[in-house]
Amino acid sequence: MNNGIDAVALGVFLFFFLLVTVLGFLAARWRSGTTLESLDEWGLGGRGFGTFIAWFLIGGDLYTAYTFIAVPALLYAGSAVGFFAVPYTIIVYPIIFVFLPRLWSVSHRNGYVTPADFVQGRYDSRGLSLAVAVTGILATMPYIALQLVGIQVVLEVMGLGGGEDASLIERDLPLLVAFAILAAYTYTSGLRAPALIAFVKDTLIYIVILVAVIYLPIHLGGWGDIFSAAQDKIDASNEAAGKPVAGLLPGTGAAQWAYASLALGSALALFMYPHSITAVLSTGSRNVIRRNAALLPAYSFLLGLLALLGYVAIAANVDSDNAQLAIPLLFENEFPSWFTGVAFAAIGIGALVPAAIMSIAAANLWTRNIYKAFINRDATHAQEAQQAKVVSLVVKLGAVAFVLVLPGEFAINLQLLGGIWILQTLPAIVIGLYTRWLHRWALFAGWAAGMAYGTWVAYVQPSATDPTVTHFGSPLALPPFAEETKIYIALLAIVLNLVVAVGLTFVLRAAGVDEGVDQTRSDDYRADAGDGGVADELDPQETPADTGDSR
Amino acid sequence: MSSTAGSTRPTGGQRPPRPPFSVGTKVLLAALLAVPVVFGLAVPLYASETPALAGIPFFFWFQFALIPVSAVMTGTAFLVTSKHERDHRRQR
Repeated sequence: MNNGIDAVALGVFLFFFLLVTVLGFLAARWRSGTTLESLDEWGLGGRGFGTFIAWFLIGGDLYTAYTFIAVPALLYAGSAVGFFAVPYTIIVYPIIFVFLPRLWSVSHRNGYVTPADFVQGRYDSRGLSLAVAVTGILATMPYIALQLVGIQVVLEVMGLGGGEDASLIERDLPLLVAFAILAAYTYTSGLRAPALIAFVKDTLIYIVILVAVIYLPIHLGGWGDIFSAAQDKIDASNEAAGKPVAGLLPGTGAAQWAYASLALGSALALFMYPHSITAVLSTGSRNVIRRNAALLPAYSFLLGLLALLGYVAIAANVDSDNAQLAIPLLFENEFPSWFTGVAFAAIGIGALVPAAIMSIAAANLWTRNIYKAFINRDATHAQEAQQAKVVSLVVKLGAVAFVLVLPGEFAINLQLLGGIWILQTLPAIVIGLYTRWLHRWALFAGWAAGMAYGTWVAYVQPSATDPTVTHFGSPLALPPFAEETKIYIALLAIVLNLVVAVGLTFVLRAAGVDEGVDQTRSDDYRADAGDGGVADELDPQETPADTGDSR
Repeated sequence: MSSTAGSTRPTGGQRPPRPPFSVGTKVLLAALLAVPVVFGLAVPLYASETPALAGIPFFFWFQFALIPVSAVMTGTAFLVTSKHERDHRRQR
């Protein structure tokens, strides 16, 4: 597949890469307060982003380069279940609308930077808070690693990094350079860097996808031909396997359960991820979040179009054993060089934005809930910021090592586990926003049970299609006592988690075990920008625009 | 800079806390927000090739159509909550 380097495409790619590098460093001075030396500034961008910036930032954060590669790759490989990403990103927004404004309010009132800060304040339990923080860091690391995979795919198709016989250094040098630059401007600018770069990323992505879904079907004879080409490929692979292994849509009951449970489980998990919460807490008011819940579905539309490009690649006769290369190869085959460069830049920069936010989110968790909670309890704001900056470097270094040293499936398996793990923090965070009835130690036990069970079940799943894969073969598993209908493992684990948490709460309450002191008050959960204890954290430039809707 | 980070409690609001939504408003909000979730999860309802639209099977175009519909539902819910907050501010 390595057919030499296309100088024009590479030139365009490098141009955009340089552009975002400059933006990343300039971002330190963008809308900044007096200093970056606190987590509110470095780790949350001053907590004042309005609707417009938040739309780009959250969109750039959630719809990652890996999504853009992996979702169409699933359809290309003949699995319509991969299209679950669309209902997943439809049902996530009502969920956001309901609970995130409460998390925003209590976090702004009490100066919480991470979800684990909230859990600490609400339940007065450093153990439970540590569990939430560690889960967040563990789930985020492989996610960052997968962003690197996204960049790697683009570099490979561009012909950079040599072929299979190239040395390790030669092959991965471009990737290392890209990540070193990312690490440097995240260090200096904090969350402002991805916020500013997200404008470039999303503009490029929208242009590329819109051009692709309008131009390619015209060029290839219309959507009817594209779907029948996909159907032909699916029929051929079913025939070869001697049983139905693929389908144009989830036709069987089992496939439909898989589809719905993946959509629901992923939607519930998405806003437990530290990077999602970091982006939400950086907004300037509750209304920014609610308004964005109505505006962000534009990205879901984009994601759906992109997913269909998997079928377009089939119709365009893209032939690759590695399904992840399907979309970059489609662009390279069908577009002029300069536009291929734009498309590759969109994917590459699409990896940098979420990778930056994820590393900041992981650094915030480390700093607040491990460093400050256990190591240096009297840390100043400046010490916290310094600690977080360094940790953001360590996290990225870890992700690079991950991708370079371990086999590719490892990151994907851990990403699968990450989704299961992160959902286990939902009871402490989301239920905690409404009631303190669940006992802190019951929540801890439920979390531990869900983590252990989910990890074990994921480990023992063989692949349905590839008999050589005996572990981590599927995100789906049979529920206990069920015979054929498999559902998403994360949902199975959260049910166990909740059963344990509720059951033990009765026991612990009956035994009169101390439930700790709640540091939050009921009116904290509805506080908005401009209310007491909230106003002074806002960026003065942003306040009039976003709280002025009372006029 | 944060004046409220760490363990120091804020001194409390100068404004009275927002009143919760009325039951009618809550029902309306729940209905608006339930539409995307229920239709998104009702896979058997839309897992069908026909009726196709411009060559696109029903399964795909239905989900594309659901995206703007859910955005309108969530957007309406936003307008309801922000009207509630405006009314509350006027009362003070």
